[in-house]
Amino acid sequence: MTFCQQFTIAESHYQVSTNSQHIAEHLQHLFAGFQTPPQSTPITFTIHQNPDQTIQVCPNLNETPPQATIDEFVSHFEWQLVRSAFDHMSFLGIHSGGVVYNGKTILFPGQSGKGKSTLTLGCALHGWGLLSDEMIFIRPNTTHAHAFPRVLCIKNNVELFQTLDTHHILQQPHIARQINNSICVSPQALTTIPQDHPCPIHLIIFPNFQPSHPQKLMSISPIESLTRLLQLTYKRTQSPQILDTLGHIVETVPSYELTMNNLPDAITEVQNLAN
Amino acid sequence: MPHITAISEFVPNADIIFREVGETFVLFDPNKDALHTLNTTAQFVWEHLASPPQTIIEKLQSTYQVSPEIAQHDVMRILEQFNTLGLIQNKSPQ
Amino acid sequence: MPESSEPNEPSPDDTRRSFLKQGLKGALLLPYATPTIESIFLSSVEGADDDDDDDDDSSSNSGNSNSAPPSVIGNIPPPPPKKPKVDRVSPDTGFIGSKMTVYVWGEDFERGARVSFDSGIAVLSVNYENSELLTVEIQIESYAYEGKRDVTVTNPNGQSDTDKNAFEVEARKAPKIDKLSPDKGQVDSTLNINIKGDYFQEGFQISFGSGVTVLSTRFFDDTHIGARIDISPYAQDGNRNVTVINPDRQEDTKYNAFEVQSKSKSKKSKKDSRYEQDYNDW
Repeated sequence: MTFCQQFTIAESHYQVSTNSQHIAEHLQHLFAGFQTPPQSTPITFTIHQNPDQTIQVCPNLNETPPQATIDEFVSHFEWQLVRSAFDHMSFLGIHSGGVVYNGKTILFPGQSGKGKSTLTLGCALHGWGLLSDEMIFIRPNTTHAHAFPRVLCIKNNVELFQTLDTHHILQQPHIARQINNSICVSPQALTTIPQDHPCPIHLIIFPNFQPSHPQKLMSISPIESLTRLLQLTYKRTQSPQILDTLGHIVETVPSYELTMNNLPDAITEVQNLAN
Repeated sequence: MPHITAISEFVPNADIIFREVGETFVLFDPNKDALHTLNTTAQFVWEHLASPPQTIIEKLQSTYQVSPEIAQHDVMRILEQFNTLGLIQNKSPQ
Repeated sequence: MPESSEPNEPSPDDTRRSFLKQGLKGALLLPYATPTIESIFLSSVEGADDDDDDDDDSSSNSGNSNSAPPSVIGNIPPPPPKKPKVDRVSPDTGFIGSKMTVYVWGEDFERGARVSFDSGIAVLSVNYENSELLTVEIQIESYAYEGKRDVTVTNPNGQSDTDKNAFEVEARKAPKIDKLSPDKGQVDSTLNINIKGDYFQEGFQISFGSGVTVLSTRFFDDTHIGARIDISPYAQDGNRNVTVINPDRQEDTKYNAFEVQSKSKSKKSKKDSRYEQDYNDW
């Protein structure tokens, strides 16, 4: 039996076929947010699981681990496709979470461990629109943000979200799966923004999760915001429009740093800023 | 690296991207993945790169409250810095 | 700082230098700061390019990703007899998150026409009334951004017309309490309170503090809501803050807006009797 899926990541279209139902279910979960049918001929991949459980991909991807478990393989495969899509897109990609509240698009740029995924998922569980917890695409000529609805990977304890998860989304096994020491939350149970919907940016908040510090909101100058955003921009050295795009954004959008120690208070602070 | 004289002529390195952001002038060098922030006076020198250093010095004196000695010292120094950082190149290499 | 020597070269275009020649030395020269350049080498800081995974920009060649899409050739429809024309949309504004009916007025609409409202607005249904009117049910998504939208009508024959900036999406504002009437009540009593203000939404909640139970609420319009309250015999007398919370969680509190009075204290005033009519209106 062959399981086939089609999806679109940024501007790249893919079709993946596999003989393994298990792999298909994993991919369905990981790519749930990208289920836009391709608008042009997709790049096709075939994933074959052999009787001895080894996995082959055709065409082969970089450094495909030959003896990988299914979990390891699908994580690697998903990341390779995402990187491939990034390499071929005309957008700027910024390591950032993003949500929409009351018509306002709010970005949470930050490196791993700063709390952007935590804050983004917290806001999404609060009913806000979800752009992404990992990467926001910016279209250079409009400076609008676009969603990247990848699975949200939570490294911290899920208990952080208990009070916010009123619909018990994180307890549903087909929504929140453990893959390689992370809880991967499929965006399908949240309010997601379509990838092609342009979102003018209204607010930039750099999260800084510090459990032992008091919550603090600090305004950031345009130049400081630009420096931070540049550091977080994928392939920044290959984008001639980068300074114009980010420069325009930081000149027109207020930026803050939010030192946060608990999620509900942080969300309230963000909500107050957005109102 | 070109030697800077009073009559040297420089142009920005073709790869350098520059822009005013807010009230700050910034340069981004994609080759070195570096962001440079210039203060107002350094920006003035950058904007007059098409002129030889001696002309830049004179223009600096006519715009800012600065002595000729300091103007000369500072202009040559900032041009050296631009040069060291790979931000400028000779207009007509010798 | 005065210049120690005049520049030798005349500068006819330089206003400052002409002033200097007149003796106003240093008057219009800008304060000087040593030129400085600060450099940050982004790759040496924890950066996006190396985040999460090994990043080798020279690779990631995934085969056929550069192949051009095939050209799509579909059936060319026959030339339509008429092109629709969109004149106006009414109402022409809607709040984020709301579902509403909108009338699209124009000419030469055909049965089966489609309507689109641009980003963030989903068209739920289109009803063809006649060649000049379409009734459209829309849902303004919770993530829609504020601003104007184009409205496009497309007839089944493929002909279309767009009314640019015909519809505006607005963000809901937080409620605002202006006044309550009556603004006082006796313990161990039940009464209807009218609340005047702005931006109230249907489905609101209201609170009067401890000892006061809200029995029911009523939404008259976005400037007028009502609450039927029961004041416990044990409620402490004194001023109370009144809070209104809209379904979108925006709220307003009017401090000391309502006074709970003990039985010995209360007096009926002319002002109260004026609003007794509102009780009967309930």
